[in-house]
Amino acid sequence: MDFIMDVLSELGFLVNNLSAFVEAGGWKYIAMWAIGGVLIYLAIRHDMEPTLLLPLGFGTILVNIPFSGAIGEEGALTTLFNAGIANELFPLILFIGIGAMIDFGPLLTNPKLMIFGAAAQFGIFFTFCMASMFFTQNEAASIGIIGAADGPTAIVVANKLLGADNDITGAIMVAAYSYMALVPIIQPPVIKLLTTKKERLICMPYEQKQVSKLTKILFPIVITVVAGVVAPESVSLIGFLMFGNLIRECGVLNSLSETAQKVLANLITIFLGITIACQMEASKFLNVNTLLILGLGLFAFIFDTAGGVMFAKLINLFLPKGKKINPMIGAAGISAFPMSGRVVHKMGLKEDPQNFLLMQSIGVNVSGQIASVIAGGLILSFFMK
Amino acid sequence: MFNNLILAKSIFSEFNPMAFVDNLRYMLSGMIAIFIVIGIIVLITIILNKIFSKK
Repeated sequence: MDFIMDVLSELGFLVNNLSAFVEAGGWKYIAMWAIGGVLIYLAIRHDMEPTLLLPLGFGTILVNIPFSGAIGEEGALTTLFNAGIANELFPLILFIGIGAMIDFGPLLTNPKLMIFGAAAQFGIFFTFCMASMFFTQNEAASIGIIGAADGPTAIVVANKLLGADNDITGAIMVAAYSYMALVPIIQPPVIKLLTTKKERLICMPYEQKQVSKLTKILFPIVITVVAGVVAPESVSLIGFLMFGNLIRECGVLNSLSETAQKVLANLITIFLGITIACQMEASKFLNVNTLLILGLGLFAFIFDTAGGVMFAKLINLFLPKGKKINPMIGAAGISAFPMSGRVVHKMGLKEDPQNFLLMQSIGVNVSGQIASVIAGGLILSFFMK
Repeated sequence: MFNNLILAKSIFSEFNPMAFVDNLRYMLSGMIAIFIVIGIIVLITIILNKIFSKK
């Protein structure tokens, strides 16, 4: 009998934990589990950025178990967070992989397309202005950078401006990655709203030009120097991206290039997703600020798209007939690579099955990658004290 | 829930429409800067293409 009583009293901690769960606002944890579940569902069922949303969703559940041992001073996720996110190491290393994946060939063939990458950063700055009505300047700048459509850049900028422990950093990271996954849903209606059918039917013949190997090797070096001189704060971002690209293009490091594209990028992605979830604690995440940030993030993506499309329409005013640009390619200037380029290509094909915009839209899309990093550097130059 | 209501109230009580106007200069200078940087990169790329293009 004593033995049974001992066992029951030992099991008393279960009852204590359960009552503590209810007292600590159990509904909040349940809401966060539901959010984690939705992220996992979107990743698996709809194939939306599964490499990020799945670890993020699972991590959300992991950190929202009351008294979770995964977080806290000695928690494994907190250790990973301090080792890789708080000091921006993971996003920067991921940039090496992304750089190694990008082929700047379509852009080098027609460098003028790069200008659309610049125009499509409009959403970042416009959203910053909008967010400044509700948040401090640094917070607003970090929210605006969601429009970079580039997770690593958003993490680096938000960390530098706000610090990793800020309450809104998690919402910014989640918005940045979630909306990237939603590009195929967000962009088409905006593009359709801003263009006429006639404009969407404009064909842009692609001239295949040979780009020398030396140009491909010099390009990442030149970009690093130019961007670094103008916005020194962007050097680590652009430098790691271009370092990855240099590995790819140099021709003597094929094995490293392959590792960076696959093993390194995959490894970091696994840790990045689940570690970002550290910021998804119910106490930090479930508040009005998060809703506002998610709304502003959507706003940033919409105005990025609008900025690119409207700029293309503006350019068309000065171009002779027959040389006009299909304004849809302006929308590919947001950095979400390669989704945005593919969205524009598919929309072109839907309007006219003979209208192939893939090479142009991918060219604009990679320029968006460069422009978004430069925009991140500029934001840091403006607001980092 | 009550805390959220307080937070919502504080957000909207701190709502400052003039901040939008005040910060427009950053938008303008940011967009100009980004066009300049990209413009320089375009020029350099065109020059690189011209110098090293395959005959």
